[in-house]
Amino acid sequence: MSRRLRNLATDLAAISCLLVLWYVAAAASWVPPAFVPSPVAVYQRLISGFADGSLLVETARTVIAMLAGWFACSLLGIVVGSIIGIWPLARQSLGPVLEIFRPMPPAAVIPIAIAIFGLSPEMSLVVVLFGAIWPALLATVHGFSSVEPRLKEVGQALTLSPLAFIWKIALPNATPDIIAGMRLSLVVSLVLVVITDMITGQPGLGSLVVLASRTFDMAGLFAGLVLLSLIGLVSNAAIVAVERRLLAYQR
Amino acid sequence: MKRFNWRPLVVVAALILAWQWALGGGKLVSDTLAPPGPVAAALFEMLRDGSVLQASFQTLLAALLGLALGAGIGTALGLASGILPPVGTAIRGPVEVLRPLPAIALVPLMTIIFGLGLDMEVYVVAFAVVWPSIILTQTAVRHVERRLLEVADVLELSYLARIRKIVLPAILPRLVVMLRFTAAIALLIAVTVELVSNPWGLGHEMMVASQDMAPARMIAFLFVITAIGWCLNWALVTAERHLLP
Amino acid sequence: MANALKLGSKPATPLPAAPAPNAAPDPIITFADVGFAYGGPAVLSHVSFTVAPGTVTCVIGPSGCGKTTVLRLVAGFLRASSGVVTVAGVPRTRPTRDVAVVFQDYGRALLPWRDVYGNVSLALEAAHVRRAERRARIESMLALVGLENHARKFPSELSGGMQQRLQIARCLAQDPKILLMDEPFGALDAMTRGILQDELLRIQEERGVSVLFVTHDIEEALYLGNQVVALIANPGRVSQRVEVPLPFPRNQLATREHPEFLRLRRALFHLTHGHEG
Repeated sequence: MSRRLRNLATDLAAISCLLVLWYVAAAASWVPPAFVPSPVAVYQRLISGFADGSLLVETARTVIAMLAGWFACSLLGIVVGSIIGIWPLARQSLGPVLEIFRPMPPAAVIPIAIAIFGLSPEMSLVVVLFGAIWPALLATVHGFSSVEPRLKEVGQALTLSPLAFIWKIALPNATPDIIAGMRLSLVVSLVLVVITDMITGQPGLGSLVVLASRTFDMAGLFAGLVLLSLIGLVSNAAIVAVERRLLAYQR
Repeated sequence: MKRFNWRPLVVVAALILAWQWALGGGKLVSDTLAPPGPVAAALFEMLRDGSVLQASFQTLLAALLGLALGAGIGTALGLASGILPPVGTAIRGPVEVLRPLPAIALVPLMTIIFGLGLDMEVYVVAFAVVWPSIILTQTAVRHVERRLLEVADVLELSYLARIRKIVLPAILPRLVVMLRFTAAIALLIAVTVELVSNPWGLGHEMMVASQDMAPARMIAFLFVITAIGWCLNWALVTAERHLLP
Repeated sequence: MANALKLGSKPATPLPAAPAPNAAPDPIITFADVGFAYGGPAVLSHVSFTVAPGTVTCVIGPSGCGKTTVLRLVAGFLRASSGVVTVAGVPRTRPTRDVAVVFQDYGRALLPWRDVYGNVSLALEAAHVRRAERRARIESMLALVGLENHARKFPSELSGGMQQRLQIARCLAQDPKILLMDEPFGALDAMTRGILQDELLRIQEERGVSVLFVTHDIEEALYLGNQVVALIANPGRVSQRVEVPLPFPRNQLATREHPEFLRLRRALFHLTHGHEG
C-alpha cells in the first residue's frame, strides 16, 4: 500500500514540475501566448466556468453521453458476444465476418449516420453505439471462445446445464477479456462523443473546444482539454479499480 | 489441411443480399444510402479516375509520418525508462495525465498553430500514438530476460552496447506487435481528423460524398478505408511471422 | 571450524626472516568474515575461506544455505553486508569481465537470436577485440568445448549439454581469471554430466583458470575440486573446509573408487546431513 502512495506522490511531483515548466514557458513567452495560455488563466477559467455553471453543463453532457453510450455498447456487446462466443456455429460463421470490421475506424460510420439521421442527438447516440461496440463485442467473443477445453469437459462431467455452464465457468473465464474490452469501449465512447460534438455543435466539451478555437479563447480551449483529460483519467481509474477487485484472484 | 470454412462466406453473401433487398427497391431514401450495385460501380469509377489513389496516398502519408514521429519518440522514451529507471519514474505521472486526452480534441488547437493540412494531421496522429508506444515499449523492456542483463553486466557492456546487442534484439518481437497496434491507431486517427476538418484524404472524401448526396461514393470510400486498414494489418502480420522464429 | 593457528599462540620455532621462495601465491578469492542479508535475517554469516589461483574450489551444502549467494558475491552482483570479498586483492564491488559466470539456467543466459558463433562473439565484442582477430579466437573456443561443427546452429537447435558448453565457451572467451559456475550441470542427465565434468577439468588444466563451483552433489564436488567448502544453513556459514588430495587427472571410475574419495564422501555426508537447519 505504501508503495502505491509513494508512486502517487512521485507522479504528483512530476506533474507539478510540468505545470511549473508550463507556467514559466508561458510567462517568459517561450511559447507564443497566442497558442498557449498561462496555466493560471486556464485555472481561473475552470473555476469561473464551474461557478457560473456554464462549464458544468458542457462537462455533464459529455460525461452522460459517454456513459450512456458505453453502458448500451457494453450490454449489447457482451450479450451478443457471449452468444457468438459460446455457440460454435455462430462463431464459425460470424467470427471472421466481425474480424473484417475490426480495422474500420469507428468514426467512419459518422458520414453514414449523418446521411440517415442528420446532425442530431440521435446521430450521436447511433455513432457511439456502432463505433464503441466493437471492442466490447470482439473481446467478449474471444473471452467466451477461449474456455480451456479441460474446463468444458469438467462441465460435461458434472452435467451442468448450458445456463449453469455459462454462469459458473464461461463467464468467469471471459471476465478479464470482457473488462479489457469494456475499458477500450469507454475510451472509444469518449472519443466518439467528442467528435460528434465537434461536428454537430451540440453542447459538450467537443464543441466547446471548437468554439473556443474560433474565438481564439485559448484559456477556454485549454480548460476544455483539461476537463477531457480528467474525464478520461477518472473513468479509466474507476474501471481499473473494479478490475482489480474482480480479478484479485489473479495476483 | 484444415477444412475450408465456407460459413462466413455464406454470411457475407446473406448480408449483401439483405443490403440489396433493403435498399434496392428504393425502400429507404435513396439520396442518403445506396444498394450494393451502385456502390460497386462507384468503387470501380473511383479506381479508374485515380481519386481514390490520391486520397489514399494523402491519408497514408499523414498516418505513417505521424506514426514515425509518435512511435519514434515513444519507443525512445520507453527504452530510456527501461535502461534508466529514474526516467521511467519521471514520465509516469505526465503520461497518466496526458494519455486519456482524446487526440481529436487537439485538432482545433493544432489548426490554430499549424493551419489545415499535413502538419496538423501528423502532429495529432503522433500525439495519439506516442502514449501506447511508451507504455508498450516499457513493458517489452521489462520482459527482457534477467539473465541476459546479468551477462551484460559481467561483460561490462556500455549502455549503448547493451541496448544495441541485448535489449533491442530481445524486444524486437514485442515491438513488431506494438507496431501493428499503433499503425492501426495512426490510420484511424488520420481518417478521423480528415472527417472532422482536414480538407484532404479519404476521410474528407467520404464526408464530401455524404454532403454531396452521393451515397454510393460515400459507402465505397468506407470500404476503401476498411480495406486499407485490413491490408496494413495483414502486411504487418506477415512481417511479424517472418521476423519471429 | 577445526583449525591450525590460534591467534595469540607462540610458534614453537622462530619464523624465518623472509618468506620462502616457493611460498604459496596469494589467494585469488578471499572471503574475510563475510556476512550478507537482504535486509531481514542473515543469509550468510561469518563466512571465511580462500581460493588459491589455478585451483578448483567446490562449495556444497543443502538448499537455502547461501551457496548461490556466495557465488553472486564473487560475481559482483551483490555486495557483502559485512566483511570483505576480494578478488585478486581488490574488494569486490561490481561485475567485471575477468570473472566469468556460468549460470545454471543456460537457456536464459544465451542470446536466442544469435547462432553459436555469434554468442561466443559477444564476449569478444564486449572486450573490443577487433573483428579480424575475433574469428580465430572464437574458433579456438568452439574447438575447446567441442562445438566447432555447430557454429551456425542456434541455441534452440542444441541439446542441453551443448547449450551449457556454449555458455562455457562464451565465458572462456572472456579470458577470465576466475570461472564461477552455479550448479552448471544440475539440469543435465547423468551421462552428459560426467562428460562435462571431465571436459571442465581438461579445460581448467589447459587454461589454468581458477574455478569456484557451486553444487549440491557431494560426489561431484569431490571429483572436481582441489578444495571443498561445506556450508550449512540458517544462517549460511562454513561448517567444514577440506583439501582434496586425490591425484590428477581425475577419472570417473578410478577416482570415485579411491579410498580417500570414499572417506571424504562419508565425512562430508555426515557433516552436511547431520547439521541441517
